[in-house]
Amino acid sequence: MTNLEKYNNAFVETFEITPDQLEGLKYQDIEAWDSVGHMSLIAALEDAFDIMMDTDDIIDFSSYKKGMEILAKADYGVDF
Amino acid sequence: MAITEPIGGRYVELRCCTEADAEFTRALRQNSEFMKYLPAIDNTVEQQRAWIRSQREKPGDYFFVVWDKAGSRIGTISIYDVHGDRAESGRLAIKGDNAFQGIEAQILSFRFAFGELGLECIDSFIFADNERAIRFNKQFGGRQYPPCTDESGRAIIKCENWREDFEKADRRLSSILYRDKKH
Repeated sequence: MTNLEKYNNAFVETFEITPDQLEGLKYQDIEAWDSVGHMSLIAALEDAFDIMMDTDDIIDFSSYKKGMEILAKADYGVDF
Repeated sequence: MAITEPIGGRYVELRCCTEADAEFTRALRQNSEFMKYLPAIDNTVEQQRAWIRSQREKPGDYFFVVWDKAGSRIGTISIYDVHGDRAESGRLAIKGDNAFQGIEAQILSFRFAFGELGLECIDSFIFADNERAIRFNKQFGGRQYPPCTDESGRAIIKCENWREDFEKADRRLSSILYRDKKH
């Protein structure tokens, strides 16, 4: 599975959405992405990529797109 | 009942509601997002001030305004009806700009209830169609019972948050909220 597929899967499975909903998706855009959903998403991504995210990055993780930028940082080194 | 010292966290602070919060707390309860699931209030600012004055004197009723670290009010949360080793939690209405603010507000209020007040169980009553609040309560270790009907015929779920369940949830959530910052 590519990193992009792992990333997308975390969203799809956590929020029970379809891949076509990912583009442009932001925190609180959908009911499932509330504070509870956010914690679950972070847990899923940390498992998928075997990383531990910084709290500031967890807070800044405000959208599907922003999340990719964060995970691509040297701290986490996820290549998309 | 009012405590003078705020309850401080990393992301929010809980401060007992004062008359200066009357406009904010009244406006929050008239916000369409919260009106669906909180009892409606239809009063004037002066009536809200009077209610706050009375609430501050009421034993076993702790009504907090949630402040963010930039110094803005973002919501309310409450522990009230303290009786024996139990109380009720509610008046929860928070509009934060990140996921941690609401979560920490609940953690701080429960730590106050179980730690400072020495309680063993906090009850909440949530409308059965308020899925968001039900999910929120569950992540703090809430035990939830099948719906019953309130006096107006609306389905309502009773949730119990026991100390030991909350303490497990607190450890799990704190491992994320209070990680050492890298920068």
